[in-house]
Amino acid sequence: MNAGVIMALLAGGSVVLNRVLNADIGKELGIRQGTVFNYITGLITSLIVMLILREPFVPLPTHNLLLYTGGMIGVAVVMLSNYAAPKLSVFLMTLLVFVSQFATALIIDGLSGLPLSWLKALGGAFVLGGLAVHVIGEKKRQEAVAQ
Amino acid sequence: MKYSIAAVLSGVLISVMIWINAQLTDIVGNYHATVYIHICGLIPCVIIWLCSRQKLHPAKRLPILMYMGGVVGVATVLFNNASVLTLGVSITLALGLLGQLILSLLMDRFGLLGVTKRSISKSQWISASLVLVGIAIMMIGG
Repeated sequence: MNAGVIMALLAGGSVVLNRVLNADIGKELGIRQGTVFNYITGLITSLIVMLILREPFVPLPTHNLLLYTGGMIGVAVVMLSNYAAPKLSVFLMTLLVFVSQFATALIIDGLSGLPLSWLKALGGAFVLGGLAVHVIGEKKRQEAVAQ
Repeated sequence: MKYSIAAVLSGVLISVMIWINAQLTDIVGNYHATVYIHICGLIPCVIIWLCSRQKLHPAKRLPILMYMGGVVGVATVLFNNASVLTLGVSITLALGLLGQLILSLLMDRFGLLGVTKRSISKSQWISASLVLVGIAIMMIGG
């Protein structure tokens, strides 16, 4: 249980680290080139991992074209992220991305017929409240500075 | 603000992407899926890059760490998978968010990795507390 908790926390930290690193390199080399580097290094790393683990080869399925779009959507995500991340605080970016991600996940689960856990929705409402407090607080801070 | 809209849009697309990638993972397994997803992503982004006719920026003397974004991304997948096996998806996500917030606050506060240094305001403490409560509730609900 403890190892799982640590892994999850590290996963979260790595999401932020990934985003900041990509934004940094996007600032230096431009969004498009930065994204290409991101995917190249990711591809090399995952290939190495796969080779180390010596998994038997499974070919890419061809029957469902939708399966190919995940990678493309990922490109859009990386580009949007590189575009927005340098302009927002890391905290705000994290909140915005999480709230929209969670809301979309609830909608997708709902459309797939999964029952909505109202506790999860309530928890999400608290997170949304946290986001609202942060945004309002930042606005007030900026107004105070401007005076 | 258009940057906030872009951030929200990226969040929406992440969930859609996770949903699609999960179906691929079901068929070919985790490590294969990671490789295929990167290939499927590399092709369009190279095409976009070539179409933009941008000159190749010389790889200036940038710290190697900056190029490690893709490597860290693979680590995310592996950490998430290891965690989901023992804790399940929702708790992994909730704790993941906690991990994100902790690192976000640290990076903002100390200006790590070139991020603009900002002090932590009172409203941010309140905000983080609310989010913590929200995560706890989600973990109970999960």
